Amino acid sequence: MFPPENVEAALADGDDQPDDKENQEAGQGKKKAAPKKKPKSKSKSPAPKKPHVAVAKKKVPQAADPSEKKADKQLADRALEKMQKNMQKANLADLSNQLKELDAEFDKNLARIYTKGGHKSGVEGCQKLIEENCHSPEVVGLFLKSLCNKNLLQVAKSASAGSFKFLEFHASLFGFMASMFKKNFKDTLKDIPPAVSKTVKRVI
Amino acid sequence: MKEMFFQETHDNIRNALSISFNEILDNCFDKPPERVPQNTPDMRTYGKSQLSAVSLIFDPLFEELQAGRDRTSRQTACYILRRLNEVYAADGSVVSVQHCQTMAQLGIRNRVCDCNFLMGLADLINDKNLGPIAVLGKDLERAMPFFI
Repeated sequence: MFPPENVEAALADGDDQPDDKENQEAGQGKKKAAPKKKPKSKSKSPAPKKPHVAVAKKKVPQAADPSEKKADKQLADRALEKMQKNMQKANLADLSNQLKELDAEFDKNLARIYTKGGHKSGVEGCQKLIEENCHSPEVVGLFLKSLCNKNLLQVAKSASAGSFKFLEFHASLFGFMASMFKKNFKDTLKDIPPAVSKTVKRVI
Repeated sequence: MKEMFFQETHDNIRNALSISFNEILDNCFDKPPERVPQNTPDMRTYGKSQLSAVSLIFDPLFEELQAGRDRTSRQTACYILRRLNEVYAADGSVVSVQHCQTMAQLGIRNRVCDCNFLMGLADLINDKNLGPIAVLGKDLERAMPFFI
């Protein structure tokens, strides 16, 4: 049986009313479960602190709920962060691939400027690429890198006839780039932090 | 551009370069209000300290007028200077008295005997808003034997 002294002690320990109710319920539960444990308690000491243990057992899961929720949230946050990082990596990979393709295409068109038959299409191709990408300043560095490639000049000088025309087209592309990109004329690849003045100084 | 194209002697290339310089100065910096009077500070600026964008364009060209420079690249610089002076003749913030005097001083002291330089200087002297005194300044005495 459940000794009344322990119930009073449990009521005195608890501060809130719900705990008291729980204690009482726990006590009632014990009362129902008591007949099975009776023979054991009879053989040993009456174990007066059992209700306290029961209360404590019930309190632990209630206290653990918020911490579990926190842990779940943390796990979810980590998973989200991982997902975002992976997405960013994938996006960066896509972007770098696109930039590589664009660089290769611009190089092709620029090289075509120095061929006798295709200089017009080369200039048009370069201008088209600059016009299409004039709103993305990341491309400025790529285009300038190609335009400032001195190996192309060696090719131009080796082709004696009409080389001044090729060089003329090449030189005019700097101005065309400036007119298209305007205040975004910043080389993000070489100038840190990127600034128009730095890029202009280097280009000149 | 200087390293790549200033060694070329053809006028078409020099013209393309002057157009590129012009486009850079016109588009990459804040534009000044129209019809700026002479001697007003340059409105095309860059950076927090608001440095003059005009000097960013013209200083590399003036460098070529210094003594000991390559003749061909100096000729290219003179061609571009003349073209740019023609384009910005009405813009007092670019072709200012200070700009003219710097050009005259460098050319006369370093004895730049280039057709385009002399023609450019003549254009500035003949300009209504400038005149010989504004352009030559302290170098007026040196200019006479230089021209003769």
